Amino acid sequence: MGAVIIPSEFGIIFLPLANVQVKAGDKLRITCQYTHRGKAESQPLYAAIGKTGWTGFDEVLHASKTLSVPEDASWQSREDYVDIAITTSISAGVYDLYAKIGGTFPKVISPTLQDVVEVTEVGNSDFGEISITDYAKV
Amino acid sequence: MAKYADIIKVEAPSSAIEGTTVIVDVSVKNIGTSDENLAVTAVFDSTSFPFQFDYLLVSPGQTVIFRGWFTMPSKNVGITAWSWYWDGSDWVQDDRYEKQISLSQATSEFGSIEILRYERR
Repeated sequence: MGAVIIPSEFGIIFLPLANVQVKAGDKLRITCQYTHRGKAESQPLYAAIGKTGWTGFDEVLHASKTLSVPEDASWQSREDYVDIAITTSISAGVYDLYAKIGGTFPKVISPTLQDVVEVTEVGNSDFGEISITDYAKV
Repeated sequence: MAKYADIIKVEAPSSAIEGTTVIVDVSVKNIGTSDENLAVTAVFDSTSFPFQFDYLLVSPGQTVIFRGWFTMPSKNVGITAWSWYWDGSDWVQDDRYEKQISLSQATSEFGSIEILRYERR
């Protein structure tokens, strides 16, 4: 009697995105992958931290840099990053993230990553714990 | 090695956008010792294209430019140019030159973007 062959099957894989903690003075580096084809051109790569609401994405902090892509005869996948400086103008809380290429009229917009950036308060000076790590005659 | 009609150079763009006119200038020098009727023919891939002059009477040592043109197709092309001289009864093929012209893109588009990772620096 032969073995029963079970058909191969793939279900949905859910990959929870890690939450990153930042505070004023940090930089958040957002690395993006994008595809391009056609003639060479320069466009801004833009990323923002904010909150998704019923009116759209309410940006709190953002940054951009100029991407210079070469001529691509066919679709090419590329990576680049933009650093957002975390300043005191953002209050503590959990925020969303998105990126786009282009200016006022974006060429492409990424899906928004929800609740992935946690901004923490820079508190007063605190000492958490102390322990003796070594002792020697001097 | 050419006998009379030496192709010195072929000037054409290294790339062109689909649908644009590609100008091909073929410089031919009469390396003979007497006046010669010289001509140029050429193809891109296997398609012939026209030149401004059918032939020219060229003095010894003189260089003339034959200008040809064609419409860039939607692919890279190789052009081949031949020079000819008139021997009194027939056109005789003399020299040959080849050049590649690649298709360049007229537009630029971004297909997608996604955030791969984010990290505190």
